[in-house]
Amino acid sequence: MPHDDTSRPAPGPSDAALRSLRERLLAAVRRCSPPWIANQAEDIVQAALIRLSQSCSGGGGFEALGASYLETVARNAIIDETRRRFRRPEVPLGDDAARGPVPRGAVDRPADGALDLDRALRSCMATLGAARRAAVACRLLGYSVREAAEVLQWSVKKVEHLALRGMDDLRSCLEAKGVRP
Amino acid sequence: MSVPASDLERWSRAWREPPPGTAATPGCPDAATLSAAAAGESAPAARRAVMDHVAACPACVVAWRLARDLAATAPPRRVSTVPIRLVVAAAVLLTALLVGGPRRGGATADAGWRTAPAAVDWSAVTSGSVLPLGRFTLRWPAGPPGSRYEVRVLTPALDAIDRASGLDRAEYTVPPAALAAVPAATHLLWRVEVVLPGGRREASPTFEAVLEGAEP
Repeated sequence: MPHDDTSRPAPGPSDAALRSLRERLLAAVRRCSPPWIANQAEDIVQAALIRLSQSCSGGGGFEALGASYLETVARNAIIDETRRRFRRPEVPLGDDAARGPVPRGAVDRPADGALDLDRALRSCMATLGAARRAAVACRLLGYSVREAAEVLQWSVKKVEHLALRGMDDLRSCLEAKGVRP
Repeated sequence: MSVPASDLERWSRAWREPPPGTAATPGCPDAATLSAAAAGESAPAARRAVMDHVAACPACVVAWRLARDLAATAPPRRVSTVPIRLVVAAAVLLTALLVGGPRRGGATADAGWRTAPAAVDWSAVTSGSVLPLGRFTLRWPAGPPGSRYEVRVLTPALDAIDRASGLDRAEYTVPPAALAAVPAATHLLWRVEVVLPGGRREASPTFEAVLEGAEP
């Protein structure tokens, strides 16, 4: 019987596409994460891809997925896997491990007061109104006013005004907490 | 009063790169919701709600930056949205070049080109629609007469919640029972595979649909 070429399912992502996806995920984690997360990039990407593989094991594995589908689920898996690291800080192995569980916050605690500034910033952000808080968040993310307006779907003028007022509020709050602006 | 650039940089760095020991704030949006907001694919109110959470949550700041970065570097979708007339014109031009132009040994000159235009215009599908539990109906443009459809629906955690095949209409209503355990405002993922009359299959991109409920 002649082989019916048209009856084959749509081709899934190739090995090259998967390798490319893995490299892109790794690069993104390293580029967008603080050093202590970036150092775990290999583990994070591997865990996400394993989870992805398990989730589609009943339907033909990666080969059954289209490229855009794989892209979407891989993006979600990597986000979940990265956020999980914040709920479960790495515990160093070796002598320290024998001393029992390490309390949250005691692992690799930064010595330069970064944790204090981080907490003060988040505490002060919580006191801002929602609109100012969103505009300040965009500012702290390093977005231009136009980019922030696109993200929040507000006018450039409105975002500019909210960010300016919000940053003033933030500065006052930090000063009140004794954090040098 | 404005904030000096040096202070802004220091605050920004401290906030964008939370140190070890910082914990996620409760109530994180699911990955699909955050990803859609970061890619600019969700409604303005939903984007602002996500950004409001990001402002307070160290884990979601990093997740947001990852989602934006991955959205910006994503390869283009395989299904072309180029008007069919342009595709036909390109095919005619290519044929003329191949027939009239010099041939280079046995090289496959059409490598990387689609052999046929897409049977379904997937760009017409609205992704991110908010649908109620009792009428969670997914719709897409019909293929040629005689086409059959297969639909797959997953949670953001990639658990399959429903699958249907052999459909002869370009729509599918997910049974309420399949959605019973899904929290309101969840962004579900769905995808269609069209089986064309000749047996050829064409897969859609992945779309999202939001289960109606409280503000995500």
